[in-house]
Amino acid sequence: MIVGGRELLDGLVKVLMERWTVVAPREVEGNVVLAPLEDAGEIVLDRPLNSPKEYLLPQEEILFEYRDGGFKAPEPRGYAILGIRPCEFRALLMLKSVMGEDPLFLSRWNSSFFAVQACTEPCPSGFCGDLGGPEFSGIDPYRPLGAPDLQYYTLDGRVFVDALTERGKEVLGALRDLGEGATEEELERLRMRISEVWEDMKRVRVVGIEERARWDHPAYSYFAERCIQCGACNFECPSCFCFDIRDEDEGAWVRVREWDSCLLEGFSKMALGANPRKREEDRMRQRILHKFKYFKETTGFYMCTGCGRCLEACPSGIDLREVISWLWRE
Amino acid sequence: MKLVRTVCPYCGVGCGMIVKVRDERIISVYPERSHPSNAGTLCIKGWKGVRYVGHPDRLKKPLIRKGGRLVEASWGEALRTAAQGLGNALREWGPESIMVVGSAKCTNEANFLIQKFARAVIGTNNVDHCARLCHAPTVKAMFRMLGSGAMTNPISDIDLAEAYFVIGSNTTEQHPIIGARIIRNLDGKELIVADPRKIRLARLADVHLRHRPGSDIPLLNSIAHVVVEEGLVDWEYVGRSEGFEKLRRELERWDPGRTQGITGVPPRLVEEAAEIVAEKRTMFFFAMGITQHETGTQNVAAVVNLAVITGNVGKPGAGINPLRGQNNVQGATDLAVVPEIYPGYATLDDPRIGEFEEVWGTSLPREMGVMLSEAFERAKQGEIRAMYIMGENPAVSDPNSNLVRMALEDLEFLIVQDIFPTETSEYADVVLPAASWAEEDGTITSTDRRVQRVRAFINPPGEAMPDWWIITQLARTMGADWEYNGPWDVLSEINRLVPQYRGITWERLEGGHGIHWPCPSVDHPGTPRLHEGRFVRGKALLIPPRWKPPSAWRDEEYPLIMTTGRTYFHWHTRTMTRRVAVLQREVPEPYVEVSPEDAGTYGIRDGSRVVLESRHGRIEVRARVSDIVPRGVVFVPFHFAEAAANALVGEEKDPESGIPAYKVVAVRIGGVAP
Repeated sequence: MIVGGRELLDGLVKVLMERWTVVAPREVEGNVVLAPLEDAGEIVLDRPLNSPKEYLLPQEEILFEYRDGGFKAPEPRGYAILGIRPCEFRALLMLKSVMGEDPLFLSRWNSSFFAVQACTEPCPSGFCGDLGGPEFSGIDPYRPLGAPDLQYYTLDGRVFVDALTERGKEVLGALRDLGEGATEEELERLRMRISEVWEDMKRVRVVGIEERARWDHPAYSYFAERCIQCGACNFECPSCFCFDIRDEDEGAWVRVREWDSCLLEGFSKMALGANPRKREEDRMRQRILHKFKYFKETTGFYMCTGCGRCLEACPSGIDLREVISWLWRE
Repeated sequence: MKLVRTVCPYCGVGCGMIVKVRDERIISVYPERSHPSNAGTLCIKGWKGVRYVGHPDRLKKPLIRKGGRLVEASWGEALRTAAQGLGNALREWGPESIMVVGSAKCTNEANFLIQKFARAVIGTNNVDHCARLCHAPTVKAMFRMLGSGAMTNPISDIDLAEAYFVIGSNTTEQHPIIGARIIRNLDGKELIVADPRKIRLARLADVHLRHRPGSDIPLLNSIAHVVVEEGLVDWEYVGRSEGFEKLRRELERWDPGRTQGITGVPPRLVEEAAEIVAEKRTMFFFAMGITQHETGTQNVAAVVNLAVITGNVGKPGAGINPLRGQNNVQGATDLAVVPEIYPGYATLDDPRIGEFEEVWGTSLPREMGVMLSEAFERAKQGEIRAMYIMGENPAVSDPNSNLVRMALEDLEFLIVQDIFPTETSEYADVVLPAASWAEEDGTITSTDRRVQRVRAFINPPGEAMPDWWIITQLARTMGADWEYNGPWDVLSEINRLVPQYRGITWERLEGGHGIHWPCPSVDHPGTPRLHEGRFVRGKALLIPPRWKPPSAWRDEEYPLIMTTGRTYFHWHTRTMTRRVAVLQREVPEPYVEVSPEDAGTYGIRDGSRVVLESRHGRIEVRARVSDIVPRGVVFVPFHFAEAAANALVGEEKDPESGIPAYKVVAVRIGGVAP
């Protein structure tokens, strides 16, 4: 780990810019957006309004096109993605466990570089306490699925950068001149802060919920009644992977994939109109149980890492933490 | 790659969004966190619906009719043909033979120019737009009673209210972000919903007043009756208004016990509603369910009365809020794309028209022009000979569609300016391809009077051009000396001529989230809340509303009432939304909602095809059996040309505002196929 001032962070961006298009939180007229940087100095420390999902699974993308009697598929390249939070990186690992054999996803994943910003301040909407906490540590429960290349912390105007992979160590090596080793006292302060934040983020109990989440719980209809079906909870969720594909005539025929939402009626509608999840509450149940029961039972992981983006993006104020608390109550 | 901050093109809420664009293609859409109206949220149309702009069906070249067919032409030829067609009508039959239609989907600048084109180039007040079909009664009644026809509160005031009274607005479907913001606030607050249909907000309401279609005045008067009888009147507000005594006498006869016979609403619920609005800081919301009636203007008056006598106007979290449908219907109305006023609500006898004459360098008409809702009847009679329609599709959106199509057929000359071919452009002699929301810079005015910048971020397809440019070129081809180098020049003319917009300059709108009119000077912060401390009119005017039962009420021959409206997933005549895959997937075809009781009577199953007939037309649609509608009432969305609900709607209108009675149409089931 090395420690430095703000120039260490800018230096990191500069080094990555030599090999990648760098995606990081930057300001757009009063909003912080996770987007490609044009200049290293543009990176900010605030949490951006969008999740990193679109840089691996875009909102809408062309899978292939058929032109002049032949198929052509794009060969996408990944990005160096900075400033995403541990919860979001863990969610991307969930995403990879599902999408990992998709050639476009895989091609992006394999050529991406991830630098996670650990949380030295609690965030208002997250609940990662039971789901990994505010840093991606060496003994992180998600460690068996992968690790970010770098992790950086900010505390009292200082930036701490740590490498978690070989590739990360390489990049860190190039930054030696911009920082120094961390003192034991500094590390202790950092550990203290992280554990305080962790304590704060234990806002709702998640572990064990798969045993309690009933099929016929009244929570589903209560929250479904309030859902206006905007899809935002799915779209903003870094681990929601469901998509729709369609063929379009754009001069050439193109097959397009776009984010979909399990809360929409058409998502599960079949030919001739039959629909196993016709009622809104059936679809709400699917969303909740998929994340907290089915996925857990098949993979051992919850398909939710407590980032809180869904509740931030919900126009009706549906709060997933509240949903989970309901499920605990009989 | 670029990131552009703009405003959603769909409804009047005016949600801020950030669009990521690469290679002329929208890559991502993000809800804007810092925007006060949507605060980091969007509905499905915002998230998904904006991709229509890149659809291959877009109009890319001007078209002119040659030998009965529309063929591609150069801009020069198309503009000359358009100018000639209008010029001929002008010479042969005079300016009153030409009708100009603006669009609540276009910018303030385009709309300002199109009404200027009608008035200063053609010389007629025959200019209107779809506000005629939505909030003409609101503007009429609220302007007269309060001195301003617009929403009194900013959207963010929803968080400050203690109660909500929603009547005739399916808010979560038509203004989803406002509807959801009400839901978000429901803990510890009261919600009253008055609607014949059990809409989402009605299911969440503390009090659902399920009155019969067309009985809004009896219902509202009975609530006001209880307020007066139980001594719940806010006397301070009565002191700030005139006409209370007359209103009080009128209200005497509307006791809830008596009105139950008309409305079907039990007195107990009326009393509960009265107590809530009298005791809590209440925001009133209403929309087409109030206005689209033969008594539309009087309906609005009944809402205003109730809000004023309970002291619910001009306070944070209390006010009268007509929800404007289109992204810029507020602006198109402010800038007078209507026949009865000049921009900034200058009536036809206002000396301010002299100022317009001076700036525009010509004498201007002062006679009331033709309204959109009568234009096609007039065309059928040969009084209107030519039309110039920008961004509207009356062949589907206007009542009595069969007559509209015949009238379009009969026109000597028709210009349609749009982004897609429409049912209306099929009748055109000249089709002018316009830039879409994504390709045109300008300003729009959201429902809460917030004037905001929209930004061009891709190039128009083919030879399509921005509306302001097209109107300017057409005016110039007709001999006008218009000089505009961009929409900013048009806005500065608006700043000069429209007092409410005086301080809302192009430069000021560059950053931030817009400015609420009225804004009288460049150093004025704008006015988020109207009537604070004092009504714009001075004293509010209370008007005893006159009620009459709907003329198209059900009878033996037509035993059901059809009410029309929109659905969440589509927009108006679907020119945009049917080209967005997920929206089309959700609601792929027209339908009629039938109550389980009526379904039993007629042998209708969910999914049956039924024939629906009125005195004016017939359509065939699939049934959705649902308890959303009460027995005796059916609901049909008006979006679909293939089963145009508006083919069933007749000629009944509100005499005061000209709005068609879309909400009450007597119909019958003419047949059922399994």
